[in-house]
Amino acid sequence: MNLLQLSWRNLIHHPLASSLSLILFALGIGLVSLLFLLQSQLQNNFEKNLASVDLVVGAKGSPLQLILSSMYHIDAPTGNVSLGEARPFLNPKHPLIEKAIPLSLGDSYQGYRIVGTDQNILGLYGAEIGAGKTWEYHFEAVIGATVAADPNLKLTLGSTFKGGHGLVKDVDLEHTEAEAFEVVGILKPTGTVIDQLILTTTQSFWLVHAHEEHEATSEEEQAIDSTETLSHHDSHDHEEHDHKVTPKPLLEEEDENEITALLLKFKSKMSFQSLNMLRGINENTDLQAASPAIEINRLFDLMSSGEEALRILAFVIVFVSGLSIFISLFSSLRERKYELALMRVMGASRTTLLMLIVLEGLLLAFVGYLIGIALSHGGMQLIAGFMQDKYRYSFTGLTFLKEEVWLFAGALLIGLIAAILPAVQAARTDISDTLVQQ
Amino acid sequence: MLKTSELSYAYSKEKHLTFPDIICQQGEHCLILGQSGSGKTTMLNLLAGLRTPSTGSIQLKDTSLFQLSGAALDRFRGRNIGIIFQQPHFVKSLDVEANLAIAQKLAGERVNKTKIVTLLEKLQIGHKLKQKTYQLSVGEQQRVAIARALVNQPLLILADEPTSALDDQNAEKVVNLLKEQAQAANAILMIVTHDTRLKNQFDKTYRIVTSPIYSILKYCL
Repeated sequence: MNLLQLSWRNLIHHPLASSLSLILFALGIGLVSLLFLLQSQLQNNFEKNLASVDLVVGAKGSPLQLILSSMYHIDAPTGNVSLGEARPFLNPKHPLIEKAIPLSLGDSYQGYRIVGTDQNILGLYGAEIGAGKTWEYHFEAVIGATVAADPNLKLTLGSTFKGGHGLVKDVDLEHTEAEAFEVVGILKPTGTVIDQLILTTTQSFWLVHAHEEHEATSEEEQAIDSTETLSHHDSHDHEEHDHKVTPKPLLEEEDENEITALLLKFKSKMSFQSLNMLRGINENTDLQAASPAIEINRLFDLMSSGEEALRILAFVIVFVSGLSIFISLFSSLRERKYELALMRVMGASRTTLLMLIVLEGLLLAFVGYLIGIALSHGGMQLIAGFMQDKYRYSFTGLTFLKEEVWLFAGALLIGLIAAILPAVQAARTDISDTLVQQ
Repeated sequence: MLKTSELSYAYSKEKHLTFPDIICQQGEHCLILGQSGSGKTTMLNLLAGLRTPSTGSIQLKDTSLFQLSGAALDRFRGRNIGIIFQQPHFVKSLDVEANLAIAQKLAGERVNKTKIVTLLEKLQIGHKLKQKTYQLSVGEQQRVAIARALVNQPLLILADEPTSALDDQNAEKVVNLLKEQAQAANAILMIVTHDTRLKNQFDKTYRIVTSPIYSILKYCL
């Protein structure tokens, strides 16, 4: 029976009074820790996907939306731009641009986005082919590691699937008449957004949608002239066989074809070039340019005010719980004055009683901290599941941050401060007047 | 051996208490009799080292009580003086066994379970070992309090009004129990009471008598 055990017994002897302080404390600590976890993982997810892209060019609209849709693959794209408008950026002889990666977006398969692009995108995210080969011909697809690992999809090398229009799971929007994609390669996990993408050629995208228009027109035509429709179908079949040819470079494609966005990487890292080009594009063309760094900072600024409010709330809860520990210890002294005096009679010094009450405060804080951390990590795990379902981003409740060590020290400090006055009061217990009745 | 000399305690200029000199050998059973308000409680507090006297000294075996500093006095009291209070108080969150164990621990002794069990069995409450103290009857609580006072084999057992609330028969029983246990431990038994039923059953009886201005001590055998 040491002092720690005794203080523990004292706490569980008054489960109601102790548990109120405990719940409050755990809620406060849990909220603070959850905010730490969310912030660090959001920041981490956003930053590792910046992928040294200097500028994103796409259709006019919200610059943040352009960044979110074409770099983070959340949110809808702002619209499409014609290849004619985008062509200057694709020119390999452009004096400033080192790499321009075209993106065609808007289709998905079971919630995973299909991206029509070229192979430069692999270098951008440091992705490597883990199995199979890269996409070369139309309707060949390479899937990211997360897509490959999804047990609901069961996609492996050689599997075929049909994309759907839009970015949510919806069977009605499936391109039933279009040719199916064939999985020819699987990427190694990179921890970036590319893990959750399905990559194919830009032209495959055009073909899927051209097909749809074809169908619509062919139905109209069928009503007018059946023979013509028949011949049309012949030529159509012929076209499908042509898919197994190496696609032309985008530069040689027709002007009216559309892409969704371009990811630009500059030759030099001078930021004024990027800013100049950004202003130039936005003022002089029908395109929109947005800088990922600027937009993501803006997004963090927006979030930080909400986060600040939550953090203040969390600290208020922690403060109130500290107060509650103080009150519950202090009021327990009145009831326990006999046993405290008794302990003095049995040989305990004033310091021993002081330590006993301090230990009770620390113990409450310690257990409260453990519960709080369990709550926040459990909560984070729930949020992670939700994020995974909705955005395909990986969050986890199973990592621990060094901030949580500081939080632990802070929790103990609060327990100590809350206990110090009651402890001094306990040490002052007057034994002679308390135990011996006059 | 317990020896006090010229003890006095001043609450204020008007209320100045003086106490009889006491000498008790190991194994002797002594009674301190006094009416309510006579200073009997103060005497008990002084003997237990819970209050410091204005004048005089108390010596238990080779130790002069008030030459010890605060924490050392606490430790000495825990180890050498077993006190049985009128109201039995316990550490509520602990069971009977742990209440005795903590008395050993706080006195700086090693926790000795066999000793606790033997003691409780001798007092016929061995079967209450794992019960919370507030679940016991008043009589059982008093026995646990006696066991706790004895657990460190003290030199001096101080009992504050152990019989005042009891009928003749039970008072007799408790006194005999205390005598028995003190005898077995070769401790000095000192009962402080106003219960005159006890006056002929002890080796020595001291009386505390007070006058309004200052107490006159009388000495009766």
